[in-house]
Amino acid sequence: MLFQLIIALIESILNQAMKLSPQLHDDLRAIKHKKLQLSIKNWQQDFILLYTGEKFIILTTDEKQADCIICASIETLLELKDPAKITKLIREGKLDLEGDIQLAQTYSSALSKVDIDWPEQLSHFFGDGMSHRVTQSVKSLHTQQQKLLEKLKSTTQHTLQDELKIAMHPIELTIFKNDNRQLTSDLELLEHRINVLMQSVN
Amino acid sequence: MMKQTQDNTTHFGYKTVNEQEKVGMVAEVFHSVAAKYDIMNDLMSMGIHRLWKRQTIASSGVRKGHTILDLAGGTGDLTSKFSQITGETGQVILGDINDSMLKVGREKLRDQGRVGNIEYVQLNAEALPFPDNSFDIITIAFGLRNVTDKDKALASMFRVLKPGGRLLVLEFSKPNNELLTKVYDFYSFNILPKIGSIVTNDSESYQYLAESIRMHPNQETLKGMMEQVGFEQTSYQNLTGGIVALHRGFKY
Repeated sequence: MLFQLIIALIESILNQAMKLSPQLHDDLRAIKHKKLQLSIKNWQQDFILLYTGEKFIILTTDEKQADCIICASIETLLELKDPAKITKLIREGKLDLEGDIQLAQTYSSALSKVDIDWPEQLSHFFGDGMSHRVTQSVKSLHTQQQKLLEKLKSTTQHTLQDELKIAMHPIELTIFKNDNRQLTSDLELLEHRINVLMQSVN
Repeated sequence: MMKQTQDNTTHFGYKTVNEQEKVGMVAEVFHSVAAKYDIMNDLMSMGIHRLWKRQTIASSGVRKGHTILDLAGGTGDLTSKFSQITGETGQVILGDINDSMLKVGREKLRDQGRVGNIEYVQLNAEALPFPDNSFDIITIAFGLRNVTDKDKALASMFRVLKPGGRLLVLEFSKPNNELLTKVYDFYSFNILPKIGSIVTNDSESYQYLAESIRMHPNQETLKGMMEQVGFEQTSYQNLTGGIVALHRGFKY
């Protein structure tokens, strides 16, 4: 039942996105009532995505019963945001597709084009000025976060790729040993001189 | 097999009543609760009935153009979803023996804008008024336990189902965990009638609900009853620990 709850939430989010991005209806009109089945590798459950002309319906299924069946890992499915990648992923063996490829391409293209006018939507609640400021702040925060992530990624890459200087180089060790011997010898000489001086004083 | 006794008596909750009496008594229960049926469903199940119904739709294999009979369809939760999926080339028939429930269902669906591919029929599940082999899918959600002669109803459903079609029975059943059974019993007999009393001013109907659930055949018995009338590949899925079970059977 938890699964059904999660699916219901995802369905609700998708339908909310559709309300905020009405051009989705035009993009999906051609595939109305056609079923896209997503079979995620290593998951026990398949899903069916259906556009009814008004809204999305997502269903779980244990049957193969759709107009197009896509079988892939979750990482590969996320790459499908770019419709041009579908053929490439099939060639690479990362994606199995049975049925109407156009259905998958239409969904991929439509969902990648979702563009919600956030300032417009927020202005209904906070007014124009506030919603503009909120949107700009979120955008700026997002940019900063992206920069920080890139920096972190680059640092991690360098750390992993470059050889760390943990051990001392052999030449440095030899020099250190020589210096150490010299210091010991100097100390012995000094001790001898001090002893001679002390005896002369006594 | 769950069967009526020889002298034409049957159960109404824990009471034994005449078969003819049961029809009227069940009708009375649903006339009484029809107006607040949806609110009560949400309150009693804490909204989980929506997930049980989602699972039923998911198991139905419904697609564009299908003809579907939603028996004991009440306020039309399943019909609403089916009508969206089956589209204008399909048809959904919302059938219920109780005219109060049908009226509430029709009003609700029309308010939602669900028109065009839905028909409303007042009917008795034991004698379905349709030709043989008429439907791709038949569902009966939380209705079978109120039917007087369940075997006759299942046989009638089998008759009107198309070859290759499937029947889905969503119904309260027997929890498969002892602790859950105790909690569930306490809830059903102590809390449920109180909620009914507060919301609908009718605790008796909800006392009947709790009793009728206990008198309903368990998972295996119902599966056997479906097989007895001819359903094949029958199976059931326990939902929420067996409080509810979804039975599925095919006609070939």
